[in-house]
Amino acid sequence: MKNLLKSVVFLVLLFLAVFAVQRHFKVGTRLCFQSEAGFYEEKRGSLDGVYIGASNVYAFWQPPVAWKNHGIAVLTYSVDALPSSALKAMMIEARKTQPDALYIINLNTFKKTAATSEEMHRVTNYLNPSFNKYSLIWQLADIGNIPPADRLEYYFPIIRFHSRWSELTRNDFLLQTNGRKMGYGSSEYYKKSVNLSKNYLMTESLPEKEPEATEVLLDLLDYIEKNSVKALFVIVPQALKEEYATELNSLKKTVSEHGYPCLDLLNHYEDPGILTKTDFFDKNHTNVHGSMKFTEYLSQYLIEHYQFEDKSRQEGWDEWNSAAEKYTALISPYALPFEIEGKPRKCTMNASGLSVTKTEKQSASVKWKAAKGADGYQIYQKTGSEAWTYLDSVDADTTEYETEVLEQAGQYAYTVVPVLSKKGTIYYGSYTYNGKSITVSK
Amino acid sequence: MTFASFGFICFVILVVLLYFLTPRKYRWISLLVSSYAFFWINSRLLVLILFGTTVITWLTGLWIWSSNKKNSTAEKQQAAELTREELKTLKEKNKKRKRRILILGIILNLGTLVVLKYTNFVFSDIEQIAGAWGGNVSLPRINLLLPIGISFYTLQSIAYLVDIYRNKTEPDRNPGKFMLFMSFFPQIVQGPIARHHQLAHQLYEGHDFDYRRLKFGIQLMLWGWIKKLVIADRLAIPVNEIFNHYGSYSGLLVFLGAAMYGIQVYADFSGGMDIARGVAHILGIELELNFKQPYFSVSIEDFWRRWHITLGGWMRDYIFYPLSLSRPFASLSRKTRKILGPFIGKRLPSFLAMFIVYFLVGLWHGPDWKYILYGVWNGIFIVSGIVLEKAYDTARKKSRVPENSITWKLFQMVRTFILITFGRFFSRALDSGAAIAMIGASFHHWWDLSFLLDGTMTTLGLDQANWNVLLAAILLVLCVDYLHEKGVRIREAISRQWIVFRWLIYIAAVLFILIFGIYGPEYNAASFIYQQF
Repeated sequence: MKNLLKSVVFLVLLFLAVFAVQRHFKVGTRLCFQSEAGFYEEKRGSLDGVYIGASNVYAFWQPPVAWKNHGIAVLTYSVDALPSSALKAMMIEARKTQPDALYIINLNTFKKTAATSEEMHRVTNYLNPSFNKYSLIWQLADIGNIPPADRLEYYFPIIRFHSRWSELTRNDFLLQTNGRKMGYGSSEYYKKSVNLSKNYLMTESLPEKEPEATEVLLDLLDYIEKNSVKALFVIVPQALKEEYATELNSLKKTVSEHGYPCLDLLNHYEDPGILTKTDFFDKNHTNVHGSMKFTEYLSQYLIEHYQFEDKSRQEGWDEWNSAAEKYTALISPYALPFEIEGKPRKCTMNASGLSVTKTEKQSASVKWKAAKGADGYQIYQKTGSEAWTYLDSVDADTTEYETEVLEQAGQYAYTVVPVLSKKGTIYYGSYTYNGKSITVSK
Repeated sequence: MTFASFGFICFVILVVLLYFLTPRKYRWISLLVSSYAFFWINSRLLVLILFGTTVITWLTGLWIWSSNKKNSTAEKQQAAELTREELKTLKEKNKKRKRRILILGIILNLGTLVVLKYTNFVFSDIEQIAGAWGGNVSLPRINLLLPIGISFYTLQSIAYLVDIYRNKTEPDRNPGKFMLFMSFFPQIVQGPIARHHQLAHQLYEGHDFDYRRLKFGIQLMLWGWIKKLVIADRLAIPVNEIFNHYGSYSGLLVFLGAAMYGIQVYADFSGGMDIARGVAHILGIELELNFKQPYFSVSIEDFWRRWHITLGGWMRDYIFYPLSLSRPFASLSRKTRKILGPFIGKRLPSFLAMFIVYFLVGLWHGPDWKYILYGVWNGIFIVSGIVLEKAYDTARKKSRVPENSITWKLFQMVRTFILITFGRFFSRALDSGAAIAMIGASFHHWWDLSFLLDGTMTTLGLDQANWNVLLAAILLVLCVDYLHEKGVRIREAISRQWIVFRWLIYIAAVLFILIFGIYGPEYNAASFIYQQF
């Protein structure tokens, strides 16, 4: 008996050691870690909403911006290439600590039901050990026809990732979240724009046969109904093939038939003011400009329909306040203040034809074409990689502007935003996102 | 299901549970079932070949024994009636009959191995020889898989028959028990080659569970996995690079490649042995040691007493002694003594027998001329070692190097290592031509050590960090082997330490294997970079 007890104690210690070590080897992506590990940091019952889905979610919705502007705490719980078959398990996991939150489900996630091996790791590696996690692994492995003997690497990720030992970094050991509450950032997100207007498809047609993903959706709806979960479905704008666009319509219909709202921004992308020509960094994800529009639009929608109150002045939200500050500082060099603040927009106004040249006296000459409907222009300046700052305003008739002499050497960027004042509210138009630059040397 | 797979660990757990939960009297049956299950998992229907060999060997063994018994009885009965000459003739006749039965059994066993393993090799050589003489011969090829362990259990079955013939052991009357002896799963894959009188009774008598045996068995298995997964499978990467692209490398780097191969095969083979012995130990069965710190050898002869010990022992007992003590060889010895003098003349027959042994050792390793050359290489240096022993000793004395000094021992070990390493070219190279080319290439600018510092080593498939781990692990094995050489029993030494210290070592060993072992699905960082959908 003594030996049996010793063996059991030893095995327990061994397992604990293996679990303690392997957490530093796991790989999802940094984003998966931020999302899953970051979610567990939230206080129980504190969130207004949880937005679940794949990478669309964290590219479109910026929780720290929604917090900054409206004091609502809606956190993303999203994983790259999340298969729809994992949505229910993610919801179950989230509801362990946030049972009363509104659950926003990205319907675009239903584009895929199965996961590759790497995608399975991304989804499961950073979930806390639980029956839910291990059931999800088994379920995804069944869908992917993975033989039982090959499933061990998902229960013990060290089997797959042990060879990372030579490339472990400080981040792998510290395992700290970045404190931005899933505020997204990447070079493409900040700077890239692709023109989707030629490929962008809007359709209300239904597919010839019911999508395979309907079964997965029905299972999720069943769970939502049985557990009285507050749910909202969202379809985000993407450049999709007709086949999938029609499938989404079918899924939207299924959601509606079960009595749940579905916000279709695929067919109504203009409602948030999103421009298919400039607001995406690839066919599936908005850039920072599109994201700011989406975040503001959805925030307004949630406040109007779900009566979320502004908690930004309440005590106990220091982490969210800090996240908002950090994230604002991060995106300020790329998005203008009115975008980040979610000010009203009239995106059909556009001061195109922007050019910036250096004058002989080392000032900047900014020229642009008049924007239809604008009753004035705001000029913004950016020095080097610092944040955009407001420089000056001019009236509607002006289409050129000369700055003061630029004393310091360096790169200066300028952009012009058309504005319209209507009933005491200023509406901001579209602009050249990265501006135009000159370099001053001394 | 290799020894280094998770499936094998699960299998062993099931086997151990089944064994100790079975009533003691029937435990050998649980081992038999487990062994055949293991064989089935690995070789499927080829288990029928093992079964066939087992049946043939069992029946032949009984036949030899009954013939022996019949003959002895008849000889005793007739002893009073026959003259001395007549009795001698009868005994000779009986012995010949017994020998014919033995030879039949050996041919049937060996024939299976030869047909399955060597037919294509022989046919290929015949075609090449015919082609060289202007002929055009095309012979069919056998495309059959080899059952696991056939090279091992064939030798085991031959040893069984010969031991019965020599009255060293009695045959198994229980066919089931004999099936177990022939198929015991820990040793069927890569040995050790067992002798019936040593192993059989251990297999058949049920052993009680012993906690200490369980602990020591697991520790031995852990050590085996460290050698296999951390060292052998890691060394395979640069070794494969050098040998598969040998035209791109020259100088000492090529020799280093062969040296690394030597360490790789030692770690792999002895690691497998440790795992096999560990499993057997848990079950209360002691398998013979197959390695005894071979790289501490002071001569090639010494090396082969420490490397694959059971193969060497088999060759000694069933090839070398029968040959060297046979009448033809005795007659040869008398003739050569007259021509070549007492020293060489007396030893020439045993040199010839040794040559044959190492020829067979090479051939046993594989159906290719490179393996035969590997065996011959070792044979040449064993013989020359014996012949030159006096010369070496004279040189040592003239240099005033004491015989038991570390300097002399180190010289012997380095000399042996170098000779063994050159032999490794034959066993690892793509073919014999490549082996000879590589040996030649290793002498090209052999003094140039710049490849060690100019980054060449990191182009062989391992980065600096992996080389560091490899060197540390090899050093660890070297230290352990040194302690074993000095007679230190490490597992027992650790077991006497404070429990916290012991557990830290065991947990560290498991983590060491988990982190630094080469196993599992490949991790490719690029595939984890998000490919957006």
